[in-house]
Amino acid sequence: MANKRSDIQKLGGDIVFISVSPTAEKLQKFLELNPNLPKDRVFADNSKTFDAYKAVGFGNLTDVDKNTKPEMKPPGFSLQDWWKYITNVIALSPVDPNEKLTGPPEGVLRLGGTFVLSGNDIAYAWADALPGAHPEPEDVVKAATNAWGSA
Amino acid sequence: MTAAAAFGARAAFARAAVVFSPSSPRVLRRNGRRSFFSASSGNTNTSAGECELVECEANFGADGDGDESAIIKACVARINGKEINASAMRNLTLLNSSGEMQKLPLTGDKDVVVYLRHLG
Repeated sequence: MANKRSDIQKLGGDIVFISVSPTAEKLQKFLELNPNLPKDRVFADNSKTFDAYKAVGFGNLTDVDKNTKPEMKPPGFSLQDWWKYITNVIALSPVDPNEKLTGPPEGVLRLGGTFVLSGNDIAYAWADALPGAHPEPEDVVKAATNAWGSA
Repeated sequence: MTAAAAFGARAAFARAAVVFSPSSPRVLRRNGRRSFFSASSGNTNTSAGECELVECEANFGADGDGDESAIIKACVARINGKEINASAMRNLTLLNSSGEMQKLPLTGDKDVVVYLRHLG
């Protein structure tokens, strides 16, 4: 979605990304590994109760309806991308280093989604059914174009 | 979304059929005044994939206290049984990459907000 920012800006809008991370260090590491993401537009919910996610109704992986069968596509990683992913996945995991784990940390179970806002209106909303089942970026830009009109 | 999304990964998703789902009018209060909040229509499915949008109408000051009515229409999303409005995102304060808590720098009008699953 980051590579659609210029399209969104052409429409007079902008984009922000929210993730789950207990520390700014993990967020910085993530930004180092993903230089295509604008640093000033990426934020982390560092609350233990995932307030930003709960505020918009997103659930946990454990809440997924077993009848849900989204079509998934592979991430399209190159060998280098996979290496980068595998060697950093633990360092980036949403686990507070000071917290003693008694089961899967809730942070790894949170599901995301996408919104297009137009003033007080929500013009488009998508809740990821499973990790990776996010909307086509073109669909989000199309929804923004429909809601905002062309600039 | 996962970090894979940040790399530009994409997933297609089957969409459910269009449904019409009016909700019951509800009574809210603002500054002690009664307000009627009613939904008029929806257009898609559930909380998996594209979410149902509902147009709501809030009529503030319509209980005869002398003030003029102020009718506010807003489109909200229904996600996992909750009605979510834009203000849920417009007022968020989160951790930035410098380690400071910052109010989301939204334009206040035209914004796209992407919730990634987690960084790893």
